[in-house]
Amino acid sequence: MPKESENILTAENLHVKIGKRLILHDISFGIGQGEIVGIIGPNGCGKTTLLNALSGFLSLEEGIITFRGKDVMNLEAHARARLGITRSFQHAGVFREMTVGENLMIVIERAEQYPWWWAFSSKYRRKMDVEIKKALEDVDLLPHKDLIAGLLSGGQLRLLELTRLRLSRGNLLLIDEPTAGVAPILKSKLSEIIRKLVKEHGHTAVIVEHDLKFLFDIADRVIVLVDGEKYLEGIPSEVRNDERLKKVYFGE
Amino acid sequence: MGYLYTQIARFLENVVIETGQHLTMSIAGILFLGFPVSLSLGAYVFAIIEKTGDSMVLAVIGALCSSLVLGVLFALLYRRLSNDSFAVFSLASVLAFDAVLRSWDSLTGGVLGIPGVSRPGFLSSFLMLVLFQAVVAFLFLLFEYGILRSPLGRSLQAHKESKIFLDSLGVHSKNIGSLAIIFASFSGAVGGIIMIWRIQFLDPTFGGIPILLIVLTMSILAVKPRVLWMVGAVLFVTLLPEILRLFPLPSSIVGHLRLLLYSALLILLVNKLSSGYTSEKRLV
Repeated sequence: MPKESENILTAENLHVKIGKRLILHDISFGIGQGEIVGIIGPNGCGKTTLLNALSGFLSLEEGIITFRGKDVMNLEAHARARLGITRSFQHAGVFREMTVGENLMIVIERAEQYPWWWAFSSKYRRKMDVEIKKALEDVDLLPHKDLIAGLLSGGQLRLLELTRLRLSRGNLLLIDEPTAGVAPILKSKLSEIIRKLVKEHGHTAVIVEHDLKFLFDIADRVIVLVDGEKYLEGIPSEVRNDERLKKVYFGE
Repeated sequence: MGYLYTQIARFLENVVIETGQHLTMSIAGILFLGFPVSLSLGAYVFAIIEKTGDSMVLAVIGALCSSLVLGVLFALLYRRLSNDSFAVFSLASVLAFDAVLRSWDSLTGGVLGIPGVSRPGFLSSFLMLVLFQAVVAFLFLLFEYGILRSPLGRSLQAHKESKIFLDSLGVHSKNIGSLAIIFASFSGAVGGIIMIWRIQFLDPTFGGIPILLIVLTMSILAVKPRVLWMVGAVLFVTLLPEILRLFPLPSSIVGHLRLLLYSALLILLVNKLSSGYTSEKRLV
């Protein structure tokens, strides 16, 4: 675990209630700059709720979240995203009625701070076109640039979402079940992209995932949640061989 | 010729009103049903100030400012209420405003309304009025074209699909929706003013359920984020009741049939096109 001073994000004693039910109970952890942290646990243990709390879509009952040393508790989701906490969603947060190109455009124009009139300037239009083409080429989606995103396959939607995360210039990427509904052949591509995002582009990633092989291959550290509590934390090789995990996760 | 000018004028007035609604309902997916209040408020404020003998410019400014204030109030409610509650509230505001207009006799003339509303001197001929309306409608269309090609336009489209996804990209969805509502209120008031310059008479039925039905139908038809698509929808809905002229119907029932036609069309269209209006895709 990185030293506290190196943490890009720190969560202390998080308690989250939805209605009267306590979903997360006393969760504390830190995420170091450039780390890939996996979060696993049985269904309903609060993994996605944790991501929602970190990204500002759910308010805390108790606890503190700091990002780069700054308290982000009073910031709404959009403000946290602007600060650099970006995320993907369990069912791919892609705008399905917009084209693949427009899905990237909406991120690039904000991240690169294009002026509002950029679409009327040939200089900016060319710049945008180059950026979109390059980004789509990297994930083999260029032929689908003008296609409505809703027509992409599940795997392609994931690739588009990850590309959008990369372009958003966020520091911390909260990735919710990146392999859900993705064919095995695409999983290695996804894992390669996530590694690239961290190693080459300097991002930090928190990944919620059920595919343990996928996660243990790329994660530096794994946090196990059970019934809304932190059950275990360690490097993948430790967690993989933990008898308690086998019991709660595989029922062995 | 008078009939042709009247139809052109109706079309242009509807274009102005629909511009705001197109951005709010068709593009951003916000079920804002309170625009007849803006339309009515704009027209009434104009007529009341004009009747007191103040300058026409002051009357127009007063009407536009009041619509902006109303738009801000609607936007504040939109920020606090859920989509469904906002739709119901904004619809209820139409009925509430109607009740105010009918009961405040000393100011609004009650059910009898305000007759003889004047229009500016340079619009004394009907042709000039239509030309002026054409200029206003063109400016609104140009504005909408610009918006649709700007980051704001894309954010409005994204808003319709998911406010959550939009927020996750660092765009404040509530601000985006609020802007659309304020603009819709403004365009409603401008539409109200140029409409009142044509009919020169105002009563509480001016901004009621009939105009709501008409504009709602246009907004559902103009579901695509294209200016030409919107103009086509306005043209279609404006001219649709004119087919009733082909049938020898008594004039006493033509008005009711017209509404019935809009209602039937609305039901058909809602069934086919409106899947994205009220059901925000909650996919977190």
